Order: sequence, then structure tokens, then C-alpha cells
Amino acid sequence: MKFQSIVIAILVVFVSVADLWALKPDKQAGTSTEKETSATVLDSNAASTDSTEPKKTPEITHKVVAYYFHGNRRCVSCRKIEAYSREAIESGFAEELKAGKLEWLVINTDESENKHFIKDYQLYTKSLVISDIENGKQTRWKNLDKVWELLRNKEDFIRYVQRETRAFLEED
Amino acid sequence: MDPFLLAAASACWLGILTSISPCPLATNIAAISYIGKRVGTPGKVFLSGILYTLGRMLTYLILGVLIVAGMLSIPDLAYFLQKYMNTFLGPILILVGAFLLGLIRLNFSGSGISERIQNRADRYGIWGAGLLGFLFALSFCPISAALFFGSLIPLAVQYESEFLMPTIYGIGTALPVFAFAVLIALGTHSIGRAFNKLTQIELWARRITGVIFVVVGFYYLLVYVFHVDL
Repeated sequence: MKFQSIVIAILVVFVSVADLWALKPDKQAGTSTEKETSATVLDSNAASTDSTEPKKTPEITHKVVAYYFHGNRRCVSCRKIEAYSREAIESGFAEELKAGKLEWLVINTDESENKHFIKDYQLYTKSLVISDIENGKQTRWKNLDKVWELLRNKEDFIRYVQRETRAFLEED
Repeated sequence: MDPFLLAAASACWLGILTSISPCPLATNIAAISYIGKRVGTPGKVFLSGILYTLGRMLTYLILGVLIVAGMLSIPDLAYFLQKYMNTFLGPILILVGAFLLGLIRLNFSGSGISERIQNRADRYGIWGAGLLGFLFALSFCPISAALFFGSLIPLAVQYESEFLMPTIYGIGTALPVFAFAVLIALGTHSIGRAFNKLTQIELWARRITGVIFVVVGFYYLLVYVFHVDL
């Protein structure tokens, strides 16, 4: 009986602590070690201020941004989606990336300055979004929502991302 | 093939895909053990499985109707459920596990009353499967959110079927768990009957379920509350 009481007491204390912890405001943003940016959607050419190299050139009027959105918690499938997407972009569009016509941005939507992306792109989970920017204004965007269904087939996944991205790049 | 039937089949497949993806694995194991724990009476296992399925169906049906009717915004709902449901699932699972292990008891007094309470708890136990389905379906993880909000809802909108598509999706999400639970329970039942040890096995099944609930509960606490990268 004593043993039971002790176990119950430990459980109650643990659960209470856990709930208090859960209810405290989320401040532990940026748990991932990756470089993340806090770009804004409509401010196109200035969007990549955090990039390592200055990609923008004044002549470029049409540009495509591939965003991968994630939160503080990074699940196995989510990391896989990010890795496959990055691979699809980097292997398929090396030229465009170099020329600044295409940009790859990884964004943590749990950071307060990035929360607006959730409403902007109607996000409901970790997502890959392609955005078309003409003369500094976003003209259209698409959430590549099939990535979750294609997760088990890397080849199809990469082909799908490259096809969608190419369609955005070719539109001028 | 009729496009509507094809859409219904897609809804079912999306459900199965949700269920067999790695992220709901922990809750699926908990559900399988909970449904299958009454190895002594396969009828009750079957009934628990049906109730679990109904619980999941109900969740998706309510969410589907509210979203299609435009009463809830997808981003708000999706982020709210992913953030809070998973957080509270841990403590709930630990408490249910403690109850199954007998660490928390309902009988407070004499034997007659305790027997009645035990019977009631038994009945609630079966209804609990429905509650479990409802709760587990509400605790979205990235992949279930993607498949439900991103694939199933557009399908329901396209075919103007905000009742049927979420319902079929719900059945799909419960199907693998239901099948596993029934298979395991039937297997254990025949072994138990062969060795004439059904009562003992049932007691152990209940204990094992309790341990699984506590372990899964702690897993959820560590991952979703303390943000441990497991």
C-alpha cells in the first residue's frame, strides 16, 4: 500500500510539473542548429538578408523562392522531407541557384517573427512552398502538399519537386 | 471506375497511410494493447475495436464538417491540436496506465460494492476504447495533419462529401490497429485455451497494457513537453 502511495505521489508530481512546463510560454525557439532565416514573404529581393552570399542582382526581376517551413520539433519524416527537397533543388537547379533566380530558405515558424507565414500560406504542418516573385511582388505560390504522400518514394519525390519548381521558373 | 468510388478509396488509403506512418506508432501500440487486452472474450475485443474505430471516425467527422462549413480555420486548428493535444496526451496515458496496473483503484469499501464498481469499470473499459480512438485521432502529428488537412479535406470539398470522406478516412486510420488487435487477441486466446490459462493471461495482458500506456505516456511527455529529441 505504501509503495502504491509513493508511486502515485511521484506520478502526480511528475504530471503536474509536466503540465506547468507545457503551459509556460514557448521561448525555446531555435533548438535546431541549422542556419535559419527570418525572411518576409512579400519583400522579395530583401528576403534573403541572412544568406551567406549576396545573390541578388538588380537585373533579376523574376525570382522563385523555395521555402521549407518547420517548427521547433523536428520529426524523422520532417527531416527527410527537408533533405529530399534540398537535394531536389540543389541537384536540379544548380545554375539557377548560383544566378540568384532560385533561392532555398529554411524557416522555423515557431519563431515569433516567422509566425505570419502560417497565415500567409495557410500552413497546417511542415511544408514545402514555392513562391513566384516578380519585381519584388509575390505573384503566386503553391504548397507542394504531395511531398507527404511521396515520402516513401525518393525518386518520385524529387521528380515532383523539380517538376513543380521548373514550372515556376519557366513562367516569366 | 466511378470517380466518387475512387475518391472514397483514396480517402481510405489516406487513412491507412496515416496509420502506418512512423509518427502515430506509439499511440497505435497503446491502442492495440488496449483493444486486445480482453483475450478471454474475443467478442469484447471485437466490440472494443469497433468502438475505437467509431471514436476515430467521430473526431474526423466533426473536424471535417466544421472545416468545410468554414467554422474553423485550418491553420489555427491544425497548429492548436498539434501543440496542445500531444502535450496533454502524456499525462492522460500515464494515469490510464496507472489505473490499468492497479496503482489507482476505484474500490473504496466493502466487497459487494467493489464488485459492482469493478463491473462498471469493465463496461467503461470497453467504452474507453471509443474515447481512446477519439483522443488519439485528435492528437495530430505532422504526417497525419498533412494527410488530413492537406489531402483529405480538399477531397471532401471537391466531392462535396464532408460526411462520408472523413468517415471513410477514420475507418482507414483504425483499420490496421483493429486488425492487429483482433489477430493478436485471437492468437493469444487459442494459446490460453489450449493451456487452460485464460484468466492468468488476461491479467497479464492488462498489466502489459498498463506498462505500455505508462511508457508511451512518458515518451509523449519527453518529446512534446520537455522537447527531448528522441
